[in-house]
Amino acid sequence: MKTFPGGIHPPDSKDLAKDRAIDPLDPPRVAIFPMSQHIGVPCTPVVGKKDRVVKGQVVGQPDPENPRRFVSAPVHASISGTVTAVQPMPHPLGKAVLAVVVESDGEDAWAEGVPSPVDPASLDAAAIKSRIQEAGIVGMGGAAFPTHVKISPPPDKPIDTVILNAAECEPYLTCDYRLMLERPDALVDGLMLLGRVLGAKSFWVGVEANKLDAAEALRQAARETPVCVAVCETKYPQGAEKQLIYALTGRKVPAGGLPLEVGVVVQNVATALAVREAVIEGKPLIERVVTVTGDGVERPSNLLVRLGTPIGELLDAARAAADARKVIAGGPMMGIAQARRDVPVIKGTSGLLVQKEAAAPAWGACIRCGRCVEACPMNLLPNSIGIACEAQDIDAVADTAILDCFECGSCTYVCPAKRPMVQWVKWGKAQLSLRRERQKKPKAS
Amino acid sequence: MPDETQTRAADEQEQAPRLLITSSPHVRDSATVARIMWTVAGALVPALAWGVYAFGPRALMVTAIAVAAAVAAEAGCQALRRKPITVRDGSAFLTGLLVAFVLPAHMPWYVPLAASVFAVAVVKQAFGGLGCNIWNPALMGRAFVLAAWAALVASGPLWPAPFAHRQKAAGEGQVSVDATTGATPLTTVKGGTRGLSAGVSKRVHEFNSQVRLKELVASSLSDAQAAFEKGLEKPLPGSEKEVGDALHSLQHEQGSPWRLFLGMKGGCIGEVSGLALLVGGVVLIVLRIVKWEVPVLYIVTVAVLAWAFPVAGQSARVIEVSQGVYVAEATTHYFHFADRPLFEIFTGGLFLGAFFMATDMVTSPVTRKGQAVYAVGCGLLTALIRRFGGYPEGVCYAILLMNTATPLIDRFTRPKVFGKMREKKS
Repeated sequence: MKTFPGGIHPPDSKDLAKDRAIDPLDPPRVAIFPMSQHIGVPCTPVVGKKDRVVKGQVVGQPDPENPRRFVSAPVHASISGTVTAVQPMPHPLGKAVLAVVVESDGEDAWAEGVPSPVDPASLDAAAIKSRIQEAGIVGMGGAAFPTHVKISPPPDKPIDTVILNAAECEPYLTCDYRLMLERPDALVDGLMLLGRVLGAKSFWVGVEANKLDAAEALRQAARETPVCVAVCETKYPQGAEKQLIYALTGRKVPAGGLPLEVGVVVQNVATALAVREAVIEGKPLIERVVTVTGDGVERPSNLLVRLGTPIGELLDAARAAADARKVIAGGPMMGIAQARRDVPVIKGTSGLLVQKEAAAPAWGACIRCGRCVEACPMNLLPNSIGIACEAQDIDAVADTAILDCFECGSCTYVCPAKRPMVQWVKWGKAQLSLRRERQKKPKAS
Repeated sequence: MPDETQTRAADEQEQAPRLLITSSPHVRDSATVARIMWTVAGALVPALAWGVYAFGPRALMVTAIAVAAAVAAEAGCQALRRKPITVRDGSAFLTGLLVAFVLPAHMPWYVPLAASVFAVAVVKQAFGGLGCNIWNPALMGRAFVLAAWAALVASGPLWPAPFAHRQKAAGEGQVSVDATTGATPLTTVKGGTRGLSAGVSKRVHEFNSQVRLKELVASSLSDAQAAFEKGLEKPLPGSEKEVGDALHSLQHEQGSPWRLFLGMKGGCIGEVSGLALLVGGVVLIVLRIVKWEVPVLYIVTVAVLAWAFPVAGQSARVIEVSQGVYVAEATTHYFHFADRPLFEIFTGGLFLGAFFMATDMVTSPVTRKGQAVYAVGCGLLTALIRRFGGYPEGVCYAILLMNTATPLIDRFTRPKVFGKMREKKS
């Protein structure tokens, strides 16, 4: 079976929510639209307090003055109503982020000319790409990198392969799985549209072996297409971009490089659906499927949610325990623990994991057991990185390959001494970039 | 007072629904350091049981002293360093157990005590405690004993032969020479070849003359060789019985490889039964606490070297006495050729060293590649010390030397970062 070296086998815990069909959640009474839901330049609000907005209307645009505005994605209102505030609001990433707050008028009215279905055959590559860009689509697996940027490779880097990342290797999450079962044709459409933009010749779908029924559904949907559905070993992080590319094509993305350097573009399942909806239906990205699961919810669900919905409403819908100890936006391996229930669902929110019991385990000294080294999918030495960061020895940190770490958490998962390697890596990376800035400054002045 | 109670109640109310914030990942494997340590200790139980069975309650007493001293030393050092006391993690317990395992059962009480205190206080805690020591504490404890009480260790009587206590207890008159002089197989080998042990040496000499297997007149070299090879397997009639008797008595004295493997031999408390150690080692490999590479490569290296470089005194040749007339002559001190590697791996502390000492996570390399280099290095050094060194046994010093080389091995076996093409010049 196709896979990559390293990785871990945590219990996948997908049974909780895998049989729950996608269920639309009522639009929220108040929705919060952060101006930054993606990697790149944050948007600037284009509506003001007391303005009326409608569903599908742009409320935030990348600042036209910003030279790097291409790496950004517009934000649309997902409900109709009145803007009650344009101010910093709580954000799933932990910091307050400038957001447009809309109070619903209950009408749920679309903006004029939205949606605007077209015959995709009539569109050329540039038109498809601009429809994707206008719809505000970003990578919905969590990284939230603007999709139109990903499908605009420099001319000297031709793309011959497009991969649909259907691994969903994060334990607990089932939103991609449900989409594969319920909308396989739409996913294949999305993948083929991306391939058309890129002029790709080979099309892969990588599915983990714990979702064979989903793989079969996609295979059926892809019968008439060149799409090859491949089953990969159930192993975390099978869905990490570089690891999936290696598993499917045998190509190694250079360290510190992007997949396009080996002629590959990877898109997540939810993104492929959004691409299809944007290009064929003309719908901007205003909703997504969110898995709400964990031992802290009574009714695990896969909810179709309007972006901007406070997570509290999802928790209520899934009957989350009021005294749950931890609420995590995303999966258990890379998700971010939330401090409050009023943060909104954003484009990259794939799940809410509610844990009844949770503790920050006390950590001990590294006993050099080497489990982290075996687990690391990037072939790093997490033990050394952890020791350097724990000692706050920046020179030692700089000596490690810390920048190649994508914080998948495999090392921390397996560590018998419960050392918080990911936390240290985040700290170490932040310190390194601070140091780099400090070193730049004297030269500039 | 009421104020305080109220405040606390309010705090609790407020804290109850408060959500916990930690960095990802939010799920962890169930493995803990304590579980690893206690599991390794558990895997040593068969070897300990055999040690107590073979060497008597005295072995249990030595073990108890070593364990108690190690745990007390750990707690004492941590108290002095004002660090949390972590004796419950089993690491000091394990060190104490292993210290006892590398000592003979008839050591006076202060020897295991001193060895354990040295191992934990000096070798481990003085270097920073768990995870920071450079050398295997238990083996350093043994090295300390070898240096501090060289005479005690070297003198025969303190190396009890297995079951000596039973024979004495039963009051049997016919206690074999070995049971009282109690040399380990490895010291006997060294003694024999070096003439240190007169009694054994004499018998070796007799044996050699008896094992002059064949003096046949053959018409061709190939005939002579064929006869010679046959003779190696089975001595010729005439001398067969004598040779057989000599071989039998020697093998009985030393133990056939399988008797050695089972543990019918002299030695330290925990090292004698290869079988018991193998059982524990396999459990650790199955539980993924030990990677198979280290013990397997270590033992295989020793076996291959024993096979490739037979000890002096083992020789075989075909001599041409006159034109077309050959004499085949075999001289073997102790063993059939095929038994030699088995003898090497089933004697001394190799199984204990390979499965439980060389695999110590703290003092061995962290990558599989590094561990392979390290294991082969341990095997090489063990064979070298056994063959050429001043001690009959080389496992202890071989592992300690490779512990020293571990940071270097780690440095040269760093894994290549995924997708890294070439080392960047910077």
